[in-house]
Amino acid sequence: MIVEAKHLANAYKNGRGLHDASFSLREGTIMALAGGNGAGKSTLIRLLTGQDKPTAGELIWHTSQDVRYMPDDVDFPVTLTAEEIIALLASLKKVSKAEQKQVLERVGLWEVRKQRVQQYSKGMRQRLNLAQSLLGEGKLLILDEPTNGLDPYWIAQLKKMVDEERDKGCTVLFSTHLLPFAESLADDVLILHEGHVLATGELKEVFAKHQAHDLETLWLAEIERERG
Amino acid sequence: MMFIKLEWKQMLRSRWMQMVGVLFTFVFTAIVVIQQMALPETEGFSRQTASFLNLLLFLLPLFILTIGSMSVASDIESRWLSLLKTYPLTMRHYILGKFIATVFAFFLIVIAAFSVVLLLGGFLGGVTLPPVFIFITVASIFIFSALSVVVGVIAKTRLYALAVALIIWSLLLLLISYALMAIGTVVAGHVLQKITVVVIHLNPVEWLRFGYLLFAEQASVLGPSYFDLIAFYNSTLGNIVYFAVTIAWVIVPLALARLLITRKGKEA
Amino acid sequence: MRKIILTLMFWLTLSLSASANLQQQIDEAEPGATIEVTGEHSGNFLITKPLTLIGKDATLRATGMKPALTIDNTQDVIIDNFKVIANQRGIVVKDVDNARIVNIAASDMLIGIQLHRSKNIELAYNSIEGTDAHYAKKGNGLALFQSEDLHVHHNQITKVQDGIYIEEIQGIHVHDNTVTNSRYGTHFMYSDAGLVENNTYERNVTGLMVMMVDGFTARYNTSRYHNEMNGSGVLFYDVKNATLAHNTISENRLGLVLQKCDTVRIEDNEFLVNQTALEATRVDDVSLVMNNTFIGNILTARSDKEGVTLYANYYDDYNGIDADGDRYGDTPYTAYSSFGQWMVRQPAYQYFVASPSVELLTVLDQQTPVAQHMLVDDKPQMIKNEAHMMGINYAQALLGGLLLMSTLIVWRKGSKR
Repeated sequence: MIVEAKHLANAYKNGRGLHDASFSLREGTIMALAGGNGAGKSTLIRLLTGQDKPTAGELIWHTSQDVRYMPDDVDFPVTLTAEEIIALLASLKKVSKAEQKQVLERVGLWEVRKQRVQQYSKGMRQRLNLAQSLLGEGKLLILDEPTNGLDPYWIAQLKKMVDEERDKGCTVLFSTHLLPFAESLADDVLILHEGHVLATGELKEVFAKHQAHDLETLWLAEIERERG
Repeated sequence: MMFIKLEWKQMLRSRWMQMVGVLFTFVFTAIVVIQQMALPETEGFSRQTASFLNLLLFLLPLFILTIGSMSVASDIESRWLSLLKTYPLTMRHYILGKFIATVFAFFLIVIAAFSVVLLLGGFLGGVTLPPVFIFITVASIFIFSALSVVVGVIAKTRLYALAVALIIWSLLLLLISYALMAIGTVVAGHVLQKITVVVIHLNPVEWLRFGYLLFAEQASVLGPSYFDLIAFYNSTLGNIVYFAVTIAWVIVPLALARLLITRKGKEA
Repeated sequence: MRKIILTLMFWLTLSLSASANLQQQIDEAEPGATIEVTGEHSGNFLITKPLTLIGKDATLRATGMKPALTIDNTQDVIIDNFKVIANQRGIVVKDVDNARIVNIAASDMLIGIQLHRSKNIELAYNSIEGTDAHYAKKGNGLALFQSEDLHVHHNQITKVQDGIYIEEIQGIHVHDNTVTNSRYGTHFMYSDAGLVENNTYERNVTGLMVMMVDGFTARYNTSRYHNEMNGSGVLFYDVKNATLAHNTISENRLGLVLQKCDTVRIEDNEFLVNQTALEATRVDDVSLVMNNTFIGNILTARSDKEGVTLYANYYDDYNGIDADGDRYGDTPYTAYSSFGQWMVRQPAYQYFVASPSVELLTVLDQQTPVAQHMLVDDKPQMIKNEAHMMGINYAQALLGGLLLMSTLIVWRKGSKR
């Protein structure tokens, strides 16, 4: 186990946010974080990445809190080039030049590394975002809506990279709206709804427990059950 | 270091910054050259020095406050800062980096303007750039860069930063003075004098102007009401106090920015 | 031949005994005699008869608090070329008719030369240097009291209270003197028919101070760098029938101050780069400021409600044009600025002089012409402003060029990918 959440909460005044979430993240696995708008995904990620502190409950880290993070909504400084941005971020983590080149190659930006970000398409920016999250040695990789703006080719590449990261011993948490994508990639799942946990655990166990074959039916069924 | 370097690169690459550089150089040079040609040689506080100083006090704070604050606010708005926070970069370093990059970028602009003045002035028989003038320029770059960082942190978005910067600029440059003059019509002279003395310390624009007059030994231009104040600041202790207050004008905004930037993040 | 030898011997003995006892020599000399003095002489010497003293590397050193030399109740005295050292007063002249005191170098004393109740006196080519003490603790360079027909010229005076102090004098011509670093350069009190010409006043509190005087002319003087807290180039207080013409008044805190003046004419002067060129309070409407040149002053004029009459002066900040070509601007010039008036009434406002806020205000002020009755010149003179071309300063141009180039290189390098 790499991190454990116990009755974690961080609620906003408007009632949104995270109210009560308990789950654990197993080391060396890929966990999908699913849920609708306002389910509390972003809040949870903010807590995991240390941008915010819980108002109740706790996060128990079993390793160092060294997180690599791919946010879903960052705009990179437009007058800088991909190479410069990676160099800057790499310098903060003391990552070698060779590795900088490697991550840019992995996301297919090496050839255009000297272009300013303002000349990049949405997909290219997202790949740069992915590239920066691959920098360094952090044992936990958090990807917030990583498929946004990516074409099918790069979604496939993303999957490959995430698998590679896990194979290297990393733990990966990614949030997504795309339940089939989550199913196809994740070992574990954490489904949030209105600030609390709808379901969590190993994908197979969750399906068995809820007598479902896919996340979509599971999710809809659970929501119906809550309302009913 | 890398952070400062790239911040500085961003500054230099920004169109707005390049425009400011050209504009500042142009206006500055025009004023100097016109005055040089139209006015007799002088050594005291003249219209020439007054317009130098006013140009500096008008333009530098405006440019620094807007550019500096927008640079910080843009990082917040674009969530770039949020990403940086997940990296091993302390907010102290971030604030200092922003500050130093702004200071360097404006040094470059001012040096460019001064060198054009020297170049053209050379063809007109030579102009003088008094050391005090350079000192005040440097001091105002430091002070307003620090202020711009805190404005950016408070504003959080580029547009809002621009608005806040403009409001602060007009307050410091004009509105506070006009308010004081208005107050002067209803209160007694010695009261106005005391309020003015307080304002000199609380308004960095006035503080720099006062410093210029003080160190150029032209403070008599302020008139007899301020003899005591000037006498104090002309003493050794006064000089120390002047530098201490000037440094406080840099450190306090930076410390405030540092405090506010870590408190943030609770916005819904 | 014999007569010549005798005369030579007479001179020789005189010179020799002079070094022995100067006072004795003075006492023994015939009235109208000439004594040549060399070397240093200590004492408090007294002259009471017509006499010429000519110094050759001679020094008179006062003992005690008394003057080094006193000339009392006599006529036709010439004192030429002495160094004078005294604790208080260098030379005192009392009740003397017709004297010349020239080429005196006095230093570190309180008062250089003091004059009482005398007539037809010439004080010239003297150089007087006081101490660095505060003005209140010093005396005047030339202190002139209750006398008539004085001729004071080519003196160099510095670091005293008043350079030339003139009290109750009838008829005095002061010219080609230089007074610096003193309280007042030349100070007139109750003295009529004075003429002050070609003098230079620099870095005093006030260059030329004229108080309670009827009948006075100052012309072709230069008064500049009077920037202390109370500093002004020229100040008239309670002055009647005076003319100030062709003077250059530059770089003072206040150029010319007129307080309580009747029938004064301020003509053909140049007011350059003063903080405030002209300040007038309680000036009558016969007085006239005409044909002067105002260039580079922060504030041209300020006054109380009575104002002062401005006519056909040149103002560098006049915005009008001369369409009819009569060499005068077609619209009136208004020296009035709201701010200038405020400053007169409330000195605390002066803090804002030439500040960014006020500069802006002044611009707006000039764009909204309000009917003002004071400080308006209906016929502002138009002069074509000549550029001050002084040749090329290559070193500076080169420095600027190099600096600019390196800035651009740094900029390019900084923004290069």
